[in-house]
Amino acid sequence: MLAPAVVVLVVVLLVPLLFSLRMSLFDWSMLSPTHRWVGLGNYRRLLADPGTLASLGITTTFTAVSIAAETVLGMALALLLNAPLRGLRAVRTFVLLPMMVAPVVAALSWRLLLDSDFGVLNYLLAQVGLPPQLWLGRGLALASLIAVEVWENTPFVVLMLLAGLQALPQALLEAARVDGAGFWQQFRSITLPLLSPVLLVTLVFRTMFTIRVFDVVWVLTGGGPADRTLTLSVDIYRTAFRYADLGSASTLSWLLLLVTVAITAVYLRVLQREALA
Amino acid sequence: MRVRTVVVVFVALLLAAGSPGGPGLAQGKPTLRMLASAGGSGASFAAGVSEFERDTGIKVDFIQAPYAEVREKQLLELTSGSGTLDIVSVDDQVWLPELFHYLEPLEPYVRRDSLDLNAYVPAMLNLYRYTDPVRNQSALYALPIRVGGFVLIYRKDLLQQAGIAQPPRTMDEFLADARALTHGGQYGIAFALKQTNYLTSQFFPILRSFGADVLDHTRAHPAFNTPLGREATQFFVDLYRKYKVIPQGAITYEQDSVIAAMQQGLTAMTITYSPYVVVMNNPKASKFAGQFTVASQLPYSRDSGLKTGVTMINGWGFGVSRDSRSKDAAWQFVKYMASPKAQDLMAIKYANSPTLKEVYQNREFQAVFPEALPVLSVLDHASSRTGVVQWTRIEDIMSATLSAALVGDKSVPDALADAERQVTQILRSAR
Amino acid sequence: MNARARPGLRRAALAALAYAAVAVLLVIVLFPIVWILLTGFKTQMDAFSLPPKWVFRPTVENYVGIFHTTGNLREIPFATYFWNSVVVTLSSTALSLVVALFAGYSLARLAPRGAGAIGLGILAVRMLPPIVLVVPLYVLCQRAGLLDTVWALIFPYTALNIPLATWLLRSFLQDLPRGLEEAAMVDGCSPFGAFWRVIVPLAAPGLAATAVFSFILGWNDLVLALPLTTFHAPTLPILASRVRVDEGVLWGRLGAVATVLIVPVLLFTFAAQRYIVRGLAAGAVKE
Repeated sequence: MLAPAVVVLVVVLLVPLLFSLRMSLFDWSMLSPTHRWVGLGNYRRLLADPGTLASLGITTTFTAVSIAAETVLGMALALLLNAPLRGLRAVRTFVLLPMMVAPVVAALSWRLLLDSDFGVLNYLLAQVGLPPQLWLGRGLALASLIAVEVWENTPFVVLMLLAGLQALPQALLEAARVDGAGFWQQFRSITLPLLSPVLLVTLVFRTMFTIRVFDVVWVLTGGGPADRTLTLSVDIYRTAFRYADLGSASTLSWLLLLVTVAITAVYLRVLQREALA
Repeated sequence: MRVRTVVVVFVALLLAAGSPGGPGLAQGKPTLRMLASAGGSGASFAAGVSEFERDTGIKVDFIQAPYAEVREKQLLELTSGSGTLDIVSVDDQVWLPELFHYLEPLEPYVRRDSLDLNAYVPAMLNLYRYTDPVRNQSALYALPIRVGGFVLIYRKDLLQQAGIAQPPRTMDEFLADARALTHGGQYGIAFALKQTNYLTSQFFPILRSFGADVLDHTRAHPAFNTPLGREATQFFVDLYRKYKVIPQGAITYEQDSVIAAMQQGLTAMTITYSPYVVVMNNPKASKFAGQFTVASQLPYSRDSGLKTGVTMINGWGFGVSRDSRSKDAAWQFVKYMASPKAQDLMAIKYANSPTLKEVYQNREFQAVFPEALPVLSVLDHASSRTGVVQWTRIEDIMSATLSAALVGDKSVPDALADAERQVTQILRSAR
Repeated sequence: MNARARPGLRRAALAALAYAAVAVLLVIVLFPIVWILLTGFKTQMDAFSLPPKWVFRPTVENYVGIFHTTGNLREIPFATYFWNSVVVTLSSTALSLVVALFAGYSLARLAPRGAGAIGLGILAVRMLPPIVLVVPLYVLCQRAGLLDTVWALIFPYTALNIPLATWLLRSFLQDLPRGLEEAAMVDGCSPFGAFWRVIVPLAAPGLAATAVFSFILGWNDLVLALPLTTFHAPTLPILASRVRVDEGVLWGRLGAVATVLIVPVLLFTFAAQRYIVRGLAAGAVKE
């Protein structure tokens, strides 16, 4: 029964994945019919390159802050939407909207909103007397990108956590309340531990998708200004399709993969310990 | 069971939808395939393509897509030798060093059909010649279809109001005029300063008009970290940082924001691609339609020893794919699009930038595009981007460098030194 | 104020606060979407104007622009984009569900050796950025003659859906009581019948959740759709991406395309919504 899944994955994902590993060991350009073997040369060169390290740093910052924000906000919103108040069920579907918008459409829409001269956000700020900001300028570019990413993806977290909350055994919570436990205590000792499995799945997938964010960055800043928002994915795209350098692009992709695996391993260890506690 | 019926119908539809539309049948006319950059270019080409179909009965699958997509897809299709594309869009000297391997040299076809190459504006035709560095052979790989250049576009009325009798001739005048035009929410200049390859294009005419260049004549060494180059860069950066005659938001501007800034009256002058003046004078899109005009030369720096500014000439050519299965038909198409009939049509009715000399003299064209002769005179003093295979990387290095200087991350001398180091490294690892 | 003495007032105050927070949330979530939908009815000049226009003369020229594509405009018909999207999305969703259900069931119930490792392996393949799959997939599809067909997209999307779907369905199925299939077979069902009649209905909410995520991937993906299709099989996100032209972005057209793109997803999600939350509830928590 596992066979179909394994076959599809092997043919469609594993083979290209291994092919890209192979490419990373060569000086492989799309423009040249022959390729020179360099072994780990690409890896050595790129890891020593300050540009790559800067990209890694930016990607890490972007991912860490986005996920932290999404998790905290997502948790808060899930708790909010779980409240026994009328009308909240209708709201839940609308809250999912940002997740349903195609990334390229969302990115372009935000570009319109954040434009410093023609965008409506600065216009609204001016109306209340605040100075207009260079949202995609030197100081705020990365923060703006994180904000857009959080806007787009918190719904996913809300969806997952809300489901988790709704499956919590009500009896336990009732018992705690009767015993006089406050909201915070309830949250720390019952809700959070029971939610750990959902949280784990959510964090793993959000990390996987955020660490390789592309559309938002490419459309809004192109990696700038001054390479300040150059995430690894944008670097990979540029290297592959502007410079036709598939060897380096594959190397960077494998670096990204290894980082993702490492982070996931950490999650698994930490959260599984929590869940068992 | 209903589910089963649905599934069967669905699978049948899938199989029908999924059958690949193969190449045209051997009998009957072939279908030619090509990709082109969307926007003003694509729209004008589309008209020419339709005329070609009407005149010859040969069908053309013509897809318009954003620049980056055209590049990505052409790279994939041509390097894989699939033969899917018959005609290739060539962004002159930027794409030619990479793509020439996959293009048919056109001289044999030109000779066979006795095509008069002198009918083309020489600078435009030369954009599509390339010398293979390995075999040291020069060939023509595409015919020019739409070529323009960066020109100084300004608001007649605003300059008049500020008491400026004629557009600036020197860089000093350019700065002085910009300062005079910057007041009360209005700015002197709109430049595209976002970190993209357009930033490098925006800077290129300034660099050249100060007497410097990106690479030296051997094309093996960077030539911008010289006193003149530093002067040009400092001037460029100062316009934004020191004199603030460019809106601060310009750090996020691409072409569209520059055009919009002009159309909406935010700025008075710009140096940008010549066909855009038509868009700025379009009453359906612009608040100040009719007020825009083109200066017949770019400003130059007195230190440079030049007598006039030097601009960047660039545009689209069409070539024939080496792997095409319908090379003759493809050549017919390319020849047609570069012929007087198509060039006249595209220029007069669809705001194309023509490449045939005779179109510029055509009265109908001059009526539609009064700036025709000034633009041509600017293009007489133009150089193209240097045709080296690493140009795309050099563009990105320059763009990151300029961006760093513009936001104040680095001083101009430091930024240029850094860029020089990187460009030297790139050129050294030449393939 | 003693909380126990005035519980009604405290509850009312908290409720008011909650509603206020929800209102703010809705504004933040919906404003960009509403803005771009409105922009679909603006002319280019109105869409990108200084200052931005709240009050404007609405026009349908953007919608006409994407639906009317004949003559000199030479654009791919809207119907082509739409039909391709529908075929690709529904097919990859259906295939993903089937394949992931089998895999999830296998990992959860049949517990083959190395199930944990296989599970992790399935996850790990998903961690490579799709951009790097482009060239190998392009070459593969070219050799198989599948370039520019819907199959070039259906297989990759299915593969990309399988990891999350398998994880979800596995955790969902893990907790069902062991004897269910045996009981059904004792009652006279074949093993497959037991699977189909007992397991699948119980997994329905999980399947619905998977269906929504798979739908969203297939409907919205651009990274793979762009290189693998050109003339015959382009999907709607490619139409969205083509609002970018040399001179900038056709904001009005973006608004129109965005509207067209989001309506089917909304409908699909509404339909599946009744199952989603229930599905994830039982599924993920019982890890």
